[in-house]
Amino acid sequence: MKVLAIVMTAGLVATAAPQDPARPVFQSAAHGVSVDVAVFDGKNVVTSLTAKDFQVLDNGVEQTVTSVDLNRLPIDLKLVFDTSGSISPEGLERYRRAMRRVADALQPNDRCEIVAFTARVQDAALRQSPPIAIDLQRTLPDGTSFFDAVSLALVTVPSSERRQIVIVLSDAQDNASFFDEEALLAAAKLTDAVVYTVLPIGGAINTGPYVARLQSLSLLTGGRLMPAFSDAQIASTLNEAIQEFRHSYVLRYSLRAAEKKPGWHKIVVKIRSAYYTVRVREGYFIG
Amino acid sequence: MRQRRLAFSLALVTVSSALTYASTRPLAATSIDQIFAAYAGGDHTVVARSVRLPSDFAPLRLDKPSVIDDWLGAWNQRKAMFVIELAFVASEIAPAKTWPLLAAGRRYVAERPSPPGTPADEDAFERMWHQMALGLLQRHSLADYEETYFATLRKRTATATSSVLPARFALAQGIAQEQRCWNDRPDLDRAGAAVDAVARAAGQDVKSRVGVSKSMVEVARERQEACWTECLNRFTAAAASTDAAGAEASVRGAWISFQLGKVPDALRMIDGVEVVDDPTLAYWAGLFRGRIDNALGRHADAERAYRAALAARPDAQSAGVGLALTLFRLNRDAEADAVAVAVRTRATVTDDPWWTYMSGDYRFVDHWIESLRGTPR
Repeated sequence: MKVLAIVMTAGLVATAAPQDPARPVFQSAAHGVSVDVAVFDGKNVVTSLTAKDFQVLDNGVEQTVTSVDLNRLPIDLKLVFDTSGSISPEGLERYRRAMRRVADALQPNDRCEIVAFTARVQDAALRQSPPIAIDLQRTLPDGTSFFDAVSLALVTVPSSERRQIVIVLSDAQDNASFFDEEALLAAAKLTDAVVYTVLPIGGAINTGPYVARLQSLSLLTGGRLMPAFSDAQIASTLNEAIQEFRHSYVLRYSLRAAEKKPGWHKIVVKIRSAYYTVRVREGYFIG
Repeated sequence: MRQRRLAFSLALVTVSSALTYASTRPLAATSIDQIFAAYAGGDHTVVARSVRLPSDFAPLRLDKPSVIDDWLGAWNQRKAMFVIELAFVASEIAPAKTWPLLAAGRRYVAERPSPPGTPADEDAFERMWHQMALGLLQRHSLADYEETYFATLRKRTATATSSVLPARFALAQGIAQEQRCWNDRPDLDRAGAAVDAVARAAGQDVKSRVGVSKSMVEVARERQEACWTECLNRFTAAAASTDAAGAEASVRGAWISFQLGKVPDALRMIDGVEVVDDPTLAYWAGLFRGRIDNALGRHADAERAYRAALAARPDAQSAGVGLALTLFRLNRDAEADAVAVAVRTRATVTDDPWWTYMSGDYRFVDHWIESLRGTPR
């Protein structure tokens, strides 16, 4: 994540470094950080907290939470569907219906982009506000570019006015990507998006060996891995993820000058007065 | 050592001339003599039109190399040509038939009555025939057959001049090893499950076999590293050549160095490689260079490399992904997003040469078979 590290910074000065000419060097006193935080009481989302309820540690240093938003900002949703393998025309139609149900549940100011991939990565719906026009085609050649497709989906543009969520529906097998898990996790450290992963379980899909990939990706970005036990359950699972994300908090705080070290910043968020479960991205990157 | 993904060959990617021919008027499968008669009369498309399905090979009765040997009989260059046409079609529709045809054809060509050096045009024919045969084997990563083929060629050149040795022979040996390493690679992602199965079969408590699992994974890694190292040695030797094959050996060698985690060596090997008249190789060079630069933190150089790859193949996916991720890393998010969207929305259906990287010289076989057809007889 690097988003609001740029947007919220007052007096930001970008200077040219020899190898990375566009890399900003932060010289301001304040460096704004924005982070999505989901809070649960058991399985129930907690929506009654205020800034004083949160304790935030950034690289071990406690921060002052300056603002908390809940369900205020519109979302940018990217749905990433793995359509590789022996998916039938009927299966493709079921996916199309699931996409439609998700798109129809979006709010007017939300935006949605739908990506489908085999070996090839292709938009099934351009980024747009509802109503979403969906054009899902079976793409050739066959093969599975999981790493390339998902890494590409993690490319996000920082915005203080929108929140980013990526939902990946895949068993995470790969045999055609040029990039690999290392590149995927590197992109996950940079993205502003919270990534939910949905694993289709059942049928002929081999669910076993690659679940860790999905789990790592979700944990790193503050999302979670969710199973979908049938095709019929896919749409409801996707909508559950969206609702959960929508009802998470956006916390903002400002790093002091001495804390703005380039590199990985580990984030820990706790609730001061209750034993709630907190889900938040593992950290963000200043570079 | 890095665990590389891909490099599988997508059968659908390359549409060869054989398929082009197959779209023209089909012929009912008939005897090999009838098809050969038409071919010898100048009908170069008759093979592809006659053999359109795997079952079409059955009436030709070419199941065993000895049967093919008998049919070939005394030296006839047109028959040698015909066999490689059959192998070409087989590589499209019935890959298992490819090797028996090439094995018989290789013996036939290598045992032609004239010794190497006389006449020169027969040398050229033989050289190109072997080159074409190796390209067909590379298509399906038939590394063991490629090694067998190399042994034959080495034996032949040990007792004669090297004038029949394909120009890309040294490179082909590296490619064969690369294919072998890829074919035999351990799936380390699945090592846990595999080791569980082994440990259970050995009567061990699976829950407490962490040490066993680790050691087996390490053994697999070491074996794979030894395989890549041999591959790198072969490419390094081939890279000494100053021709196009030498340039490709440098590019492939750099990629293997990268797999081995020797990233500075990879950069040294690929730096300054000049690619002439081969957009696919130019694409691979840019793609690999970009990845190597990324690994070294030279993201601005990586951007240039990915853009060079895209200049060679403008719509290819992998370089587009590489460029988007690099711009993202450079904090040029809007540009990165624009590239990502462009990758996902490109109108043309250009296949990514990365998907045919493991098929090696197969990309040249359309050209080579045309050259063979034009060889004087």
